Amino acid sequence: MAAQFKSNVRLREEKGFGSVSMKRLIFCGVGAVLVFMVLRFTPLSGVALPLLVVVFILLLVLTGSRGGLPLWQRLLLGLRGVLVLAAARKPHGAAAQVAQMLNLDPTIVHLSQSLLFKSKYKAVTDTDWSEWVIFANLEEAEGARGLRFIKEIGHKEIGHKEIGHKEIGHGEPL
Amino acid sequence: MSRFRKDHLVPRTVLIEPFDLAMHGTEERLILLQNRFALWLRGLGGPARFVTWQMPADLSPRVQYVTEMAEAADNHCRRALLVEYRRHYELLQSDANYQRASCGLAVWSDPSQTARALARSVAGSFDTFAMEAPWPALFTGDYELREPGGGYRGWHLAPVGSPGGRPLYAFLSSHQFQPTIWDFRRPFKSLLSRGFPLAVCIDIPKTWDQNDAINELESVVQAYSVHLATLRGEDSRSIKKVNDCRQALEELNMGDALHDVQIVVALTAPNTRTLRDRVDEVVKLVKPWFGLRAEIGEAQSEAAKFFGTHSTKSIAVPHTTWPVVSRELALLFAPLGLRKLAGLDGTLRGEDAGGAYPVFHNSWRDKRATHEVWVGGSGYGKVRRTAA
Repeated sequence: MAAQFKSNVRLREEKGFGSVSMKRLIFCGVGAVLVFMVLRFTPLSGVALPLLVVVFILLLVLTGSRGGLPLWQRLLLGLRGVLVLAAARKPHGAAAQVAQMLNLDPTIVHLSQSLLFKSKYKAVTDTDWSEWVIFANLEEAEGARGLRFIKEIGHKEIGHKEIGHKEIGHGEPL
Repeated sequence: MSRFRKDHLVPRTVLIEPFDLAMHGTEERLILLQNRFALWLRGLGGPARFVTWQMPADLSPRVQYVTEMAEAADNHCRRALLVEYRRHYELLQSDANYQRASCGLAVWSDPSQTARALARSVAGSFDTFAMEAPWPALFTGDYELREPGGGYRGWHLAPVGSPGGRPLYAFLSSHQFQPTIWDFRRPFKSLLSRGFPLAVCIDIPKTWDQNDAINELESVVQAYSVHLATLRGEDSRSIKKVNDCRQALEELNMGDALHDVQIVVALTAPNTRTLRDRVDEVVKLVKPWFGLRAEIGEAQSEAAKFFGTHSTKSIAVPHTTWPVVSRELALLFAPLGLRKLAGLDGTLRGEDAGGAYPVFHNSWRDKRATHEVWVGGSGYGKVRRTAA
């Protein structure tokens, strides 16, 4: 009744240097070298080498994972959160303009039970005509969402079929 | 399944009645239960979601029902018995802080498959009652996103307008499953034993096609083999990864499916300081089994959608799923075996194995012919209970 859970068998994370994986080292190295190469063609070529080291360290820090997310993503999520909150609180403010520019949706700030937990496909669920409940005797159907006989207007006995929550054939004579 | 069909999957929801895991008290019965769950999970073709809600509950509806029955009773013996029942329920209620555990399952399937067919399949495989029904709402009224502050350093949801006893919510998502031993009791029993309302969602956004899963894992094994062959020195994590991949491959070749899974926990608290304490408590509690992170920013609002029938793709949170095989995923359905105060319909049958909750059961709800055998010593209360 127990199972030994496994490591993430779909994730490749070969050993690099210390706790930094090879994949992350290569990404940071390539990023820093790209910045170095671009800077060599600009008037800032004198500081290209120190910047290479700075960018490498910066990328290492920004890609450091906590809670399954790298630092840059956590910062970005926090920033987006602050922006949508500000946009929702002041719909005509500068934050709202920036949010609109970045295609952020400030309405996500407000959650309504009726919208969030509404079953979108209820109609499909409840109107399945192939799922008729079949009873061996009419007595069984009484009060069990099946075929029922009721007295109706004008002292006429009429039929009333009910399937799930959907009523059909209301008022049809049997 | 073709892309066309995947785009047209619709969610079917069922509510499942939890049972008492103590009824499967022996090791053999628990293995059988795990196999039953795993067999059903192997057949998953599309996304699925299992949710358990642990909310405060009391016996008031039952007390009211018994009171009405007593008022309507013609027989004075029956009336006296019902009054006695009412007193018993009130006595239970006065000493208890009950919670109700409800479980729901949503499966995204072809429109031609009905919720009733799903309910039948679940009831047959999980050996418990399941009925097609929309899921209950996680919270009532309107809520809004709040930034960190007021004693809690994380983002959270707060009720809008008059709180009226409505709590704050914080959503935590899993990002890592620890390579350790899980069973039906650990870690969910301790998590759901907390005395506060919470909800747990096991989201299964993808069940891999068996051939695709095998190819995927074989490519990982191949890549690691090359890495290990060229490595000078020790890389214990890579060796463990290769072993895990080979074991997963063996299980896949024995018929298991590979599922991507993420656990989302919704925690509630009356104020931010309590919310902070509860978040810390839960994160620390489950850390030996899986890592949880508090969702940041708008992801906190989006995470609430996990407790409805929104498809995982439409929920804008960082999806940090973990691949597990069916026999492992079966253990994540453990909340089904933690009944608590499940329902008040039927006859009072006694207490759960822990003695913490009264157990009610209605044998006649689906109008089947039912035979019950009541066994007990003299004076146990068989006749009186049957008469009630």
